[in-house]
Amino acid sequence: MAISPTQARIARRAGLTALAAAPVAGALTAVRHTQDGAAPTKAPLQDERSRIAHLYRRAGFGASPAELDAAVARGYDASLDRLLSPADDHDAADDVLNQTDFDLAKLDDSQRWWLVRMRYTSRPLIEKMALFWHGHFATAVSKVGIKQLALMRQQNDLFRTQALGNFHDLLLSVSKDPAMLIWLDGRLNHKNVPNENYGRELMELFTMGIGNYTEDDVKAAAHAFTGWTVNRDFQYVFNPGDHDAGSKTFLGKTGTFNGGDVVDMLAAQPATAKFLARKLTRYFVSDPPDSGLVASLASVYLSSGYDLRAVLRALFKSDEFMTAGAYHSLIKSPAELVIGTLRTLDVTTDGTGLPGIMRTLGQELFNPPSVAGWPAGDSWIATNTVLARNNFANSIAVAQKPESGLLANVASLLSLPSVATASSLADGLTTLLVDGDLSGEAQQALYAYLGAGSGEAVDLSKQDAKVRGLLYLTLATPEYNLN
Amino acid sequence: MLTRRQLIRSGAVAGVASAIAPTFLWGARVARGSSEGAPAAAPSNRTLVIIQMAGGNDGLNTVIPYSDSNYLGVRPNLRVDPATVLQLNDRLGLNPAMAGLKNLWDANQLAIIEGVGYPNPSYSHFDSMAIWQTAAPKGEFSDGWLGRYFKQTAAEANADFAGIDIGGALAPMFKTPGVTIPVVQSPAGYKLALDPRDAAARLEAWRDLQTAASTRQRYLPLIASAAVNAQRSTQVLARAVSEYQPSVTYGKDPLSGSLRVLASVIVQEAGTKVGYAMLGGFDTHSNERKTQDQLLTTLSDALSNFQADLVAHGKADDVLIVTWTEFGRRVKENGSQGTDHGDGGSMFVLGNGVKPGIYGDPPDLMQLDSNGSIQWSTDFRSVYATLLQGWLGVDSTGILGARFTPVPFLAA
Repeated sequence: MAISPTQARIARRAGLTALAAAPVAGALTAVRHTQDGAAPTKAPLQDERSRIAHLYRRAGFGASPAELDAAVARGYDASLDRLLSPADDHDAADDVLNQTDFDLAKLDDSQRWWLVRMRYTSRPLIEKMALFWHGHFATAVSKVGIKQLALMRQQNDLFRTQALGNFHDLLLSVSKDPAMLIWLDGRLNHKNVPNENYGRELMELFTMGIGNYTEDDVKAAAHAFTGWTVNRDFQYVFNPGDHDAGSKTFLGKTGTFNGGDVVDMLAAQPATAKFLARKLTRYFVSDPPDSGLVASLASVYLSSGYDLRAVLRALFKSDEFMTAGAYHSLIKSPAELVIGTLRTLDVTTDGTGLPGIMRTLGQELFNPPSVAGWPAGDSWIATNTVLARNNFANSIAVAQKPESGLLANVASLLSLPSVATASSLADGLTTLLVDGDLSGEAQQALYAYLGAGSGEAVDLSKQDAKVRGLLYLTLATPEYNLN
Repeated sequence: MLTRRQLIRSGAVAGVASAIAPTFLWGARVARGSSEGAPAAAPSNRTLVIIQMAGGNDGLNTVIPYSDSNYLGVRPNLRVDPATVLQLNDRLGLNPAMAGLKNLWDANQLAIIEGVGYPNPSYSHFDSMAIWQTAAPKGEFSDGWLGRYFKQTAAEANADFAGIDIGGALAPMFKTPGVTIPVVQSPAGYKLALDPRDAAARLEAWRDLQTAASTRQRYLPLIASAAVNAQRSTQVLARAVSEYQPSVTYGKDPLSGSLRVLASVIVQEAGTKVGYAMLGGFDTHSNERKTQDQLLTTLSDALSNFQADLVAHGKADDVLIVTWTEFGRRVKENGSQGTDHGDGGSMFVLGNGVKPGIYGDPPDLMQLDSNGSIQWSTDFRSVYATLLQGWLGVDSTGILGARFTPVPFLAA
């Protein structure tokens, strides 16, 4: 059966980015059965605390026990409202950032700045969306240049400010963003000799996706954006003398289109609605995304006039978001792994060492590998990155000098007495870190590591290495890598 | 629960000490799997090294038709001065940045394939890369062509580094369900860190936790097997790298660093059948001369050093190096001193195993395709077929989905 080359391309790209190692074992049932035949545990997402923890893992970077307590007291809907529309007058992260020294002219410190921000933000969905846009409109300092690092931070601010705003406005702002104009050669796109780089990626990666436009559309878009450039101070300017004001045919319509007209048309395309809805669903809900949910989010996008907040509200209130199929179904990105661990364990940090760790995990902020961003999904997992994940777990658990910034105090976090049973310690950690979602055999392995039967007492104050070991091992489970 | 067999191959389960067991003998075991069903028997200790030039290298300024007057006409600003090319024959010369490759040409260790492409070319990086990585222009396959090679031969079941990807992420060419190919970014970081106070107990519990991972969720087997393979392979790599003495001074650039690691596993006989490294930056929409000349220098120096190192260690007969890029570039220059996406790029094949020469149809700069690019004449899958059958000694039909006529760039 012949399919069009375009359909083949879309299928191939989806296939290559969504390979799994094994077929899904079993249908979505109400009860979780562990494969080793142990008694079935309760179904996921049945109690409010577990649902809210799932919400914070997805809409943010996880939550500490204290944060979860507060969110449970508020309830799911109120917590979601808060995530979508933070009520505070400033982000709590600013208080921490203002008291920490950064040399923002250095890439490492700029990365550290953002990681500390994510760690302490009281607006986690905003930061999560800023990260999403950074991966979507992926721009890298490797070409923009270290000397123009301030432009990367300016772009970062744009993603933060417009994180949940109007997609049309965001797209227009990005088209004028100086870092983007350098990255995709907008400033080299001239009237009689257009440069197609931005025109192509704008459609292929930022709006409609491949298969919805022709090479002629790429050329027309390039012509429309001529004159959109930067001045000597790297500020956006429109240079009418370099702008091709002639007639172009773009997506079947003819006119003397300027870049703004192209943005208007692209934001309005059903293909854009679907492309964005699909990407958001893969980022926040499940992969492969549920086609019904994608369709309904695309519809919200269009009917709301491209309102991202409305789209995300619909997403986090959808039935699909709360199914067993969405639960623990995504692989944590490096940011989710690192920041999630720090937030959940309430670890104090000034970010030292985190940029290097993010690099070994495969996600360098401000420096994505290409304009396609980070591939995500199982692409996060290879032998080198899985070693790095385990080594990050080790760095959290190993006793550090206080100055290094990575400390953990397990017992107080779990509200355990200093002498506790092995099972209460191990179960407390697995509840906190993997929502109790471990096989019976894994739980037994953790008890066995403690060298105690499950009911035996462990004096936590005398067993520092063992307690830290238990923390390491729980963080090193394959399950901990699931979001 | 995953069985130990699913995750860990026999002989490597027991404990920390046995993980340092004679892994280098595994190289000999590879012969069993790969000789079944192969055409003429090929030596079982051959290695294929794949170098990706990411971004779409401009073949026209790499392998230059210096005596073609049309070349000057289409590249008024971007031309390489014909007087400076490193002449290969009357028609073609290498970009002067590639002195190292010119030496390999003079030593009969270089073959060049011009005008490589595939039907219905894509001008999207990601799409075209995916096509080259899956060997499926029409979406016939969604997994990697070398992943399918490893699945067919089960070579990676016999040696931790039967395949090795030097880089930050697994190249899609190796991706297929059930196959784990190690990715090594830097040997120094390729370790499983364990608190020395408690390392043995933690390692044992750690192993149990990987095998205990439920198969309920589809990603868990992938994560667990990557972890187990990774931990076992750290010992092999550490030995290979520490015992290896390069006979050349490798450059400080990342590609040279990658090739040095490849040299160490090849020379230390870790059973490597396929190695991979990447050099990026070839997407020269602007300022092409400066960018490309620098990249070609890096590439040429790194590869010729690598080849010299293999020669000195007596491995040159066993290693073939091939470069690929996702597309060529448009023949006419653009307004930013660069070129846009095109077609019909070139591939280099290096090593003692080549039949030196120029392959493929000489590009006609006056007969371009509708995009303004060189018309391609050799399907990249013919090159793959040659590498699979002629070099690695395996049947390529299943892997590529069809028979492709080999390109005769290999010595008998």
